[in-house]
Amino acid sequence: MIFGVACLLLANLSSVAVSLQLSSRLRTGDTPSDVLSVLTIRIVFIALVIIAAGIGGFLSPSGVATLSVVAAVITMGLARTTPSIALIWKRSEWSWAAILVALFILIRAILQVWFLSPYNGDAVSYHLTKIAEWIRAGAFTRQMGVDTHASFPAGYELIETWWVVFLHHDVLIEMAGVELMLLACAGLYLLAKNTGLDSDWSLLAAASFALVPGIATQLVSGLNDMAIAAVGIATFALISSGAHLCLIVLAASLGIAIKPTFMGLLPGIALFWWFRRRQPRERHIPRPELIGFMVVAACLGSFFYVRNAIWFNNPFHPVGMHGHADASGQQVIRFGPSISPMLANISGLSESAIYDGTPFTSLLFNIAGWGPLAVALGAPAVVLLARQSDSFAKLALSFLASLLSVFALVRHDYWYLRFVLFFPAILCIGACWLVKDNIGLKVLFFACMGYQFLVTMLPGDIPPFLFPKFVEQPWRNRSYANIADGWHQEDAVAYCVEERINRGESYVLYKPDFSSRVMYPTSESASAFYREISDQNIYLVYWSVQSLHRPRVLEDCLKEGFVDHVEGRFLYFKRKSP
Amino acid sequence: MPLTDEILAKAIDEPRNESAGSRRKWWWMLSWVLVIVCRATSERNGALWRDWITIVAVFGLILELPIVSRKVHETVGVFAVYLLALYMFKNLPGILTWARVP
Repeated sequence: MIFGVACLLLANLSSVAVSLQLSSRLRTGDTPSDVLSVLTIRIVFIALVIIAAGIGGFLSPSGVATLSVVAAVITMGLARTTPSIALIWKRSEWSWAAILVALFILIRAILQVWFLSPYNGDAVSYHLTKIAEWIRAGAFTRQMGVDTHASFPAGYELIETWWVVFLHHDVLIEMAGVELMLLACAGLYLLAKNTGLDSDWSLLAAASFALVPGIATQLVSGLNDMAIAAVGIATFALISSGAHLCLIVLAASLGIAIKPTFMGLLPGIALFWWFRRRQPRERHIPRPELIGFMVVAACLGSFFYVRNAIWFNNPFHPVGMHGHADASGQQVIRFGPSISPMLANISGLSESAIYDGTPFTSLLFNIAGWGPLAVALGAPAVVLLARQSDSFAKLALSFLASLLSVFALVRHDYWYLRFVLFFPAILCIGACWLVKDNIGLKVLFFACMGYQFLVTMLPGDIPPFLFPKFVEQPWRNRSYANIADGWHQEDAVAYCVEERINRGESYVLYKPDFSSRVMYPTSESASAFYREISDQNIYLVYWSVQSLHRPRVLEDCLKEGFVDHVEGRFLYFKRKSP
Repeated sequence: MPLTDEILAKAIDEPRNESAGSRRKWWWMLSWVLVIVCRATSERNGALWRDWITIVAVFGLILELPIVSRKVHETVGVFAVYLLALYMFKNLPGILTWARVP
């Protein structure tokens, strides 16, 4: 463990050094803008290191740390200078009250990371399952679980892998969410500053965005929608601050690597770029460096799509020209824009979802998750500001274009609003503008922030009575499996789900330290199934809660007498003599 | 201090210019067009988004009234309190149910 912690520290120091060095070529001289550049480049660096380690087969603590240090040494060597750390703000820019609010939110996020382990259905079904396979194999693997969504682009999972690989344990896995939240807040701070808010209120705008319920609950969920929002806001902010084009392209490529939904934001981003096209961008960087940045952006943005094209002959696998259907043939993912879902999505938002009538679950089931501050204070403020200022109107219009564009691309289902979590950013900025000079509205603002802080102490997926069950577990074994009767004592287990394209909680079977091997048998007859698992020396089978009934093949195994005994969802098979 | 043109002129990176009057005219016209179109196409039990656009447009028109333009904060504040009450009325029961789950 000490070696892992040392590697974690070394690799993170290297990543910061590389980010400072590379961003120094693109600095604007404006501290918030430069900090955002450093954060963006650091996340891109992390993603690239994990890709290189995953392809090269050295996805281990020493492998990733060595790669990071080598990259840092090469970067310093090429630059022949030490990185400048002249990015420190003057403390006096902010009042203690604003700093305390921001600190409270950050500390709470870190505590949530420590005490919660992955629980969300989508996360433990396909987002994290591939990470478990990668970590166990020390390389990228084609085996990523049985979920049909397993082959989706995994840019966010690269960041999660970074926080997992050194300790060989998932206790810090949600730090990826904190990393992206910091990116979102830095972006929002910069956007707010560029609309003319002072440092204090810009910090409060960023803090209020971190408390947007949808953002706060996704932070620790292992889902990548908050990451998309963060990168989207960062891209808008980089454009607003006149950042170099290659930084903007780098941020956009990161978004595309995380999730194709980011492409839905691009019309708004392009529109904002067009609005700001006359903005001075005088920084010049040599052509080789420019080409280097662009190549890195192209590699990162296209990596998972090229992989899918090679493996499945379809860069968007499993989504085809007609979208993607579930086992019953019902379309679950759309492909391409359309007006009718856009109108349905607008209706759904305005008719009910905007009021957040159900708990703030990570998937934002039937709710927008924007919170009272954005809805009650932000929305009227944006209308007011857009009427009075061209610049604000252009920014709001660009956000609106991205919102409508995403609405036109996604299906009208129960959770489509998690794809537009970037939008409350403009509402938070508007709210700060509205309240900053009026004591009555200020009271309302802080009351809303307090309410949002309280209701997002835990994600809606975890009712308060369940939280002590996480806390009382020792951190080494802390797992949702202990709560959901999915914990086992073996070092290998087979995972069975009724419908193969359905999802399931296979990730929890790997255990938090990835010490358990998980196999996904494919045989349909009882004898073949028994042979398949026993050939792998596996005699424990778990059937998913996603299966309404015990899978037929397991029933057949029981009838054939292959099973020794059953405990809950586990079937202990008779061991074959060697 | 109310959110006046002067404050915004300082606040927003592009200073206000002569086009301000023209923009106000556009807002005025756009708001009326939105109200008329949304009301004309509104159906019984139809989509609520038309009502929302109407509310926003009417809100824009109200802000143009001379008496309101001198009390922008108060007007927006009243609207914000109304929205907050509406939000909490729908949000709070769900949150309380979640918090009380045995």
